[in-house]
Amino acid sequence: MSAWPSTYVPANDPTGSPLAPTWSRDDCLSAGITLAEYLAVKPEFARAFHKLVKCYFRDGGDQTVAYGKLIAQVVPNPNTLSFNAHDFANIFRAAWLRTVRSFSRLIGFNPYTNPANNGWGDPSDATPTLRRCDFPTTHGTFHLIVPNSKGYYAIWNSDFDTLEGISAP
Amino acid sequence: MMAPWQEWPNPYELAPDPHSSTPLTPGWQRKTAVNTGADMATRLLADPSFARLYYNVVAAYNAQPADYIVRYSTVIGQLSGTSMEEFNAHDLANVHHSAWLHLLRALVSLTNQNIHGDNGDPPPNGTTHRDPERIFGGEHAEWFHNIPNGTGSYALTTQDVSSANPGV
Repeated sequence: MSAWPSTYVPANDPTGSPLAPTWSRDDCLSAGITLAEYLAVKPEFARAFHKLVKCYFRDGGDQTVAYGKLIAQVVPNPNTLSFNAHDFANIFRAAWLRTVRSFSRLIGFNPYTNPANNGWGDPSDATPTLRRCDFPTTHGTFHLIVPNSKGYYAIWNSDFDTLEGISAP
Repeated sequence: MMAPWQEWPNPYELAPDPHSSTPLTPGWQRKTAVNTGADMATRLLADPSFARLYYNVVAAYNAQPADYIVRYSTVIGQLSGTSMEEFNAHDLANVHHSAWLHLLRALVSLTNQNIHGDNGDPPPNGTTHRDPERIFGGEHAEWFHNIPNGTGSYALTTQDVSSANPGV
């Protein structure tokens, strides 16, 4: 897997995010897959995670520590002590991608796709890290928003194509 | 005494297709369908090769709507400990909907947004086969909620699979 973008945080970043992730891309992908599995079939875990997500949408705060504690319940920290807002953003992004890819295979298409977007919320060469992507549809706009006041993701859908050896759906 | 939602509706379908060879009721118990759907959601997330096998049948149905219960049975039969002897199109519908609800829960927990707008529950103590909003290739495609098989109806609801609350 490729390294993170050399300039990870955009110029004039308004969020006060740290300079770079501390987890590797591979570790974030692996953790995201585990997170997705727990969210799907462990209702109590899903409720606890969703509670933090709701806190962000209500208050817009920095929940990095709380997310880290929750994720640590199901994913061993590969770097023992380090976990920052970018690590959370990338794990969150990986969980979202794996869930949407699986959902697409269940129903036969990607519900986030319409002619106005690529359906996967990928960063670009010009904007190699993101905090948000909007997916306009005929039923309103679906959102992919890192539910934390800090942190950017740099995981692409093609990272999962490579990991899985097959494209989605 | 089980709550009404724990038992299959009786009759299972108010107007079963007289030309269908699908049995009138599911072959599996409700709990079996719920748990197999949970297992399938986990397998879809954990094993992209399995997910691709399931997708291949869904794609075949989308290309040519028909009854693909034999192919689905082969794929779902790969789930550990799953006996397919009594499996029929209603069981597929219930397993598919259980997996759908489990994956939707993950998505709602991550995004705080239910992209389907609801949980696709059937009428109280009833069954449903397809979402009336579904239009192949049409503007409602992103609300796609359908059992990808020619026959079979589901009765499972969010009470069977405790769902996330999308509200802030």
